[in-house]
Amino acid sequence: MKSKHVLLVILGVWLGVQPFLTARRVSVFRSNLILWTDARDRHPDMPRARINIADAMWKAGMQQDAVQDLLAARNLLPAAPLALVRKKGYTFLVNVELGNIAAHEGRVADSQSFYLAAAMTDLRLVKFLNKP
Amino acid sequence: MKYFALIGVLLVTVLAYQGVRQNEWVYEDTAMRIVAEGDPGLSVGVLGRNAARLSVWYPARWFGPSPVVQHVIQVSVHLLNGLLLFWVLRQVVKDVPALVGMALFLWAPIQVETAAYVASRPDLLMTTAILVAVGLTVGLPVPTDIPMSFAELGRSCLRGTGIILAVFLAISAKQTGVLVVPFLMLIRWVKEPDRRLGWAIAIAGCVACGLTLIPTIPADAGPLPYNRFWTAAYQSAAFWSLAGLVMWPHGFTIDMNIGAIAPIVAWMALAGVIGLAGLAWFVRRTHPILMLALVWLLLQLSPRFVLSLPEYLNQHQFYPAMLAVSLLLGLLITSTKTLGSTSRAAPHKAARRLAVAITEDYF
Repeated sequence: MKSKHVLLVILGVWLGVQPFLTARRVSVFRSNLILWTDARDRHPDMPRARINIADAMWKAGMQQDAVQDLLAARNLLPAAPLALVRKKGYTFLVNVELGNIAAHEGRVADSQSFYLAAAMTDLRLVKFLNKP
Repeated sequence: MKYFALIGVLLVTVLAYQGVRQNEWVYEDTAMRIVAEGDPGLSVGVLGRNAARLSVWYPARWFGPSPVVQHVIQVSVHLLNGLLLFWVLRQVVKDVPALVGMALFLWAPIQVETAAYVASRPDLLMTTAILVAVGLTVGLPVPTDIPMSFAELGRSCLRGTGIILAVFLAISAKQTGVLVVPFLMLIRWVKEPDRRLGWAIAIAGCVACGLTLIPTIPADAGPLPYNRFWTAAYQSAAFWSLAGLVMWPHGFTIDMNIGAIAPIVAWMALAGVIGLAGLAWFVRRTHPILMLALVWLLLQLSPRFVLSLPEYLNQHQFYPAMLAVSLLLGLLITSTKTLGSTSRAAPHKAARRLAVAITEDYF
């Protein structure tokens, strides 16, 4: 077989599988829960995926699973390869989410300590505490 | 036959994306959801992505704020972009390479983050406008001493007006649309090389890169852990990762982990990008289409070299860069015509011949 034909066959196969992979990837964007489960499974060491899946779980009523991912994110954040502004923002978010869950479960003292930890992250972010 | 193939490519794209009908609003779609529910959130000036916002708001007034409507629009604009790309590619390569380039653009899974994600509407619309502007500029006649007929003059005026409108739409869809201005000037330079135009392109490129940065600079970024060189290195790593995802479409995620790669790899990535810029410079006169493809790739990355940004280049930001990748594929297919003169060639010899062939002229 001529090298031209070999190249064209490889190109054809490569191009031919693309729509199938696309169809599979489209289904990942079906919901926040599916999207961030996929991201977390691929990069379990990324805090952002953990925080966002926790948010999706919290909205789906899976509080305990959400807490586990938030705690994992909190442990990952100090060593995560992120810009400082992102680290502060994510630390703030983790504490606010943990505070929200604690408040929802009636653990007032816990929620206050999480909110305080959030405020200590960066005082400039406190303005977001009262916003939905 | 050509039209059957074209329709076939479009149908396969529709089948690949049919799942979007079941998709909800996800992640950063929230901003577009607010627009669809009635608040267009328009801002003064062209840098507010007003065109993208209106393209969400207006259909929502007719068909309701459902995500299904917006996803159908996303895929429709993606299909339109594929057709426009075919129109542009057809002006520089033959039917089959143009069709293959279009198929890659429409089918590549890296495009899903744009075509199936309403938050990426600015990238989609900007690319539509860029394709119109580029297609019209490629077709503009070069001024000669021979006087134009009235009809030719009219057509040129219409093309010029179309280009201006398309550039305006590109910028009002997304601020990085301004990068098309130096690119259009470069196309003009390719058609009629001129030293003064070359300097004007360089200045326009710098201004465009700076303009795209104005809305992206975080107001309270604070001290960033990386300096500009590190940022450039990691942005380059992101660039090669995305190019790798096109070549080997596996391992997609919305959460790219570029920051975790080894520093030496990031530096090699930066060296690779500088190498691409060098290649574009060396082939600027001999192989202008290859140069245009490389410059378009680099232009998409260039604003990110200027400042330390906390975000890395993501898949949806690679959507306009995929135009250049499709053109490169079209050139690759075209160059295979010079291969295969001997059978069973050793792979390294075939690869060398291909490398030589791809840097030949394509007209």
